[in-house]
Amino acid sequence: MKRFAIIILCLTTAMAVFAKPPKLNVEKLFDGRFNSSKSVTISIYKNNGNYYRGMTVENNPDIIKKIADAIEKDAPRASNYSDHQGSDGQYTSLQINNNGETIYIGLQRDRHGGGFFFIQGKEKAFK
Amino acid sequence: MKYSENQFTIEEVEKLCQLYMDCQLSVLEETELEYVLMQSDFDSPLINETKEIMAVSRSFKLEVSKPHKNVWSWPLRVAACAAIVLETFALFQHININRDDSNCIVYVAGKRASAKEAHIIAEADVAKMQQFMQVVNEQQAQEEAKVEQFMNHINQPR
Repeated sequence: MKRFAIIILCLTTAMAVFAKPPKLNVEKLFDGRFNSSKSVTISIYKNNGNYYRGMTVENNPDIIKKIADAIEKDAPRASNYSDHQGSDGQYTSLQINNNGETIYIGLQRDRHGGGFFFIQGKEKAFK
Repeated sequence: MKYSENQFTIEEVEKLCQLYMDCQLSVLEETELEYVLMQSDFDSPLINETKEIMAVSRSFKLEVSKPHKNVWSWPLRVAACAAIVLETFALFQHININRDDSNCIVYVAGKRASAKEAHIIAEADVAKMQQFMQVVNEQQAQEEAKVEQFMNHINQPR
């Protein structure tokens, strides 16, 4: 019984060590706090090993600010960061590597306090 | 110690019981006393109490001295471990397979969308994301081209 318990413990520990979730600040935005917001559309989509989470915000600068702040907190971990002002709004983009995969994060801000925000990557990247 | 019940009086047996209670008897003497008590009809509170304690002690000894090993124990343990490991692996595979299935949750203006509507919205969002990535990549390429042009201009011999 002792041996069996040790084997199971070793297996679970090995799994836990090899698969480390990224614990991004932007991920916390999908904890359900905006699910009931009238100005937000949230979509969570898993398909063929790809994991997508998106948020479309209409005329709500407070939420856009919260998203922008979370992105800024995760920015130091990014392997690629870009921010530019386009004709149709401001584009902020991050790429974060985790578990051998890339997580893509993007925020497009319009001029009316709204925007489109997403996190996308292979499911493995989030484990 | 004497072996025959006939040679013991109740007083002697009680004395022996008292010694038993005080842990003054050797293991062999305890066994002999137990035998005598089993064979005798002596009845007194001390004797009865000693008998009870002996019964408890005997059952405990039986439990302790149960044979632990049998020929199949080790192969069975190995087989059980292998089965559990395989089962765990299969469970994780199953979880991964389930995750691979298309799965979609959408909230629109505080209300959860139906499955069909959710798929349409999510796919539109994914398309929007791809457009975003394209704009960002084009913008980065333009910026890099500008920087390269600038560097070429600076490095041109005058």
